[in-house]
Amino acid sequence: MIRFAKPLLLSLLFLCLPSVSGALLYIDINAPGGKLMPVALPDFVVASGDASLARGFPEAIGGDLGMTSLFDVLPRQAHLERIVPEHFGGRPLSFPDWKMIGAEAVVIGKVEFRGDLMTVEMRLYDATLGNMMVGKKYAGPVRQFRKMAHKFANEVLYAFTGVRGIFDTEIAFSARPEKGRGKEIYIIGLDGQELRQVTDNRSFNLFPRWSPDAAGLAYTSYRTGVPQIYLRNLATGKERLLPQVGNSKSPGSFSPSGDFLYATLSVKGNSDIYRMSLTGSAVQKVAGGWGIEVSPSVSPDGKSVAFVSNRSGSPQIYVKEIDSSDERRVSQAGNYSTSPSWSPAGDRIAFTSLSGGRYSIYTVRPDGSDQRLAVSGSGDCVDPSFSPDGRYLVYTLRKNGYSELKIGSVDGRWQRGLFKGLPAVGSPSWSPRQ
Amino acid sequence: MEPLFRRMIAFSLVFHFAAFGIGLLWAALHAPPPRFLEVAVVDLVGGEAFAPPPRETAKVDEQPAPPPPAPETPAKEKKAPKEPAAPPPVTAKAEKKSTPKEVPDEKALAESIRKMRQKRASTEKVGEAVGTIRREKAARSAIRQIGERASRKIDLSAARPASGGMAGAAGSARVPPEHLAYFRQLDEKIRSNWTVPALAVGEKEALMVQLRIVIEKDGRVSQVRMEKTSGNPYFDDSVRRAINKASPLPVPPEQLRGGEDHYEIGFRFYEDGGAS
Repeated sequence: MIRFAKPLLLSLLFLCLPSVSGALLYIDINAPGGKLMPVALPDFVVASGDASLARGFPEAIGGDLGMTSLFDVLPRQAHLERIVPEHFGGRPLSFPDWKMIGAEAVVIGKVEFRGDLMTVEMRLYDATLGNMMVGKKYAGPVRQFRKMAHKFANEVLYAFTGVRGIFDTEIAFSARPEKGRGKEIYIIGLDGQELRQVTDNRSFNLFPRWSPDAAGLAYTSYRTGVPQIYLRNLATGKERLLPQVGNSKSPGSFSPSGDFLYATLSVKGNSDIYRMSLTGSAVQKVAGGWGIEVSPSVSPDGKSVAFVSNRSGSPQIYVKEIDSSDERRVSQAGNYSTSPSWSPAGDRIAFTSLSGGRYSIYTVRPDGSDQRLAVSGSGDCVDPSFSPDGRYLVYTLRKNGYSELKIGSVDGRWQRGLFKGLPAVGSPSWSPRQ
Repeated sequence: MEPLFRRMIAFSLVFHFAAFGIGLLWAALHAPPPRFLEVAVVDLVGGEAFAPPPRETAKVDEQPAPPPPAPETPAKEKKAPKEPAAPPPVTAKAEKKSTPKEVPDEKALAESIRKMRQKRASTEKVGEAVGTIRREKAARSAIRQIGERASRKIDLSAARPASGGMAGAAGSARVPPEHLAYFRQLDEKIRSNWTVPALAVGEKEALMVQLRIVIEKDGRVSQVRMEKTSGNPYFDDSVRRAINKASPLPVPPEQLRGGEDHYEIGFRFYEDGGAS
């Protein structure tokens, strides 16, 4: 029986063969969903000086890439090859070794110190094809090493997706200092590292807003007893007081050109939205009425402004075309809606709204359609501010008198903590790309 | 004298009532509700003039907590209905939208009106989505038909245990089981080495890359020839990486090589952008 089976099978096979070998064959493969790109980040080569940077760099880059839910950083125990200075002098990486542990990308780097300055060379290799995708050299002060790591993480993301990263952006916010009272302005990196205090006047300093070039902040300070708006140059620390009109209250947002600041000003006890020139002294009322108008946020094209008004009886979000009288309400009925933030692409406005007994963050199109829930949590989620790529929101989570800053994706799929080290953190503002 | 006095009193009364009524009406229509005057003071605890009053937070926490892992469920919902064909993802979306609707009873009426509106909006959206999916499917099948005129497609769906597609679908080549097993190995090896960077592909972008490769008799991929690119360089690159990462591939059976020392086969890589 078995003796016959073999020839029978073979002859059957040959019968079938022409239909297979004669034609061009194609196998269809559908993309596997949700797979992460495996990337290896071996220790950097540090010629002399601070050896902790050998790990510091790859960890900073890995943290950034991990945030995207796109990359999977391979554990360093799995690495089969150590990076040596010769790898930057023409010696190729052992790509089969990297491929064997599953890496598709390898990032290597070399750090050299010159006093307080350092030079870092970083390279991204495609481990499967064995070619260098990106190679960059950065020079700067040693304490800026995270900034360099973030910049290179942006490059890695761009090489694989064509999307510009935001890893080197920062978030400004207000919080009560650990010692003392009042509130000060702070800035923290997107990775939750490098917290720095901007103001230190033991008064109330609130509502930080970034200038479009990310070089300065506008904020409200009570240091003289009344709320006034200050502009601060972050590099030099120099400050400028904006001319006081009525009772200056709080900055809302800069115009895209950086020439104007839209702010809430209280004149004769009535809060309205004004546009203040930063080059001259012109002040112009943009939106107002008998109601209370606050929290302006300018569209990226500079043509419209979103703000909060209680003219309908409860606070709601309105959008006004600046050069016309066209005004419309964009938040839905029944909610207590506040703090609008315009997305960088101009396609959506995020805001806080009360529903189901707690505050959540919604987004809506500027014409008022397609309102969607973006972030809700176990407490109140308030004060949204868009990331420069429009994919994330930074917001304040408040619960039982405790508050922290969090970051969530606009589609609501993903959230993580950013900062909770100080009491009463709030009103976060995401910096533009630097 | 007396009637005049009475008339005067009557007049005065009417006038006073009218004035009072107008005053009330004016106040109801125009004056801002007093509670917002209180709130409109700059809040030093953070937020702007309309920052959520902290009292309400305390109230909120006494309520039975709704399911806490809210942020995670939508992700699962979105992923789960990927296998079935057209409408489910859309309905899932609609469901997700309607979840944040638990509102106190007093608002029931306003809420039901809103629900009705949302329902209407969501049915329109379903219609729209079905339309786009149909169009995409038509486009894809057109592409496939063109391809099939010149070539044969191997349907591995029967061999692949995960998906229960039909074996030998129209236009498929009749493939002996040994070869089918080999093709399945190829498919698995390449698929498992393929990572599509999700950010690089638009949400509703349907992409296809068609290429041919030459497999040496030791399994090494010696040639990759792109026949059709997707138009998205990052997607094309991901396919190239998949092939290179998967090399060496399973050794092609001798019968397939037909006496030659290499074997040539084509692949079509699809990304449906979550459409089907």
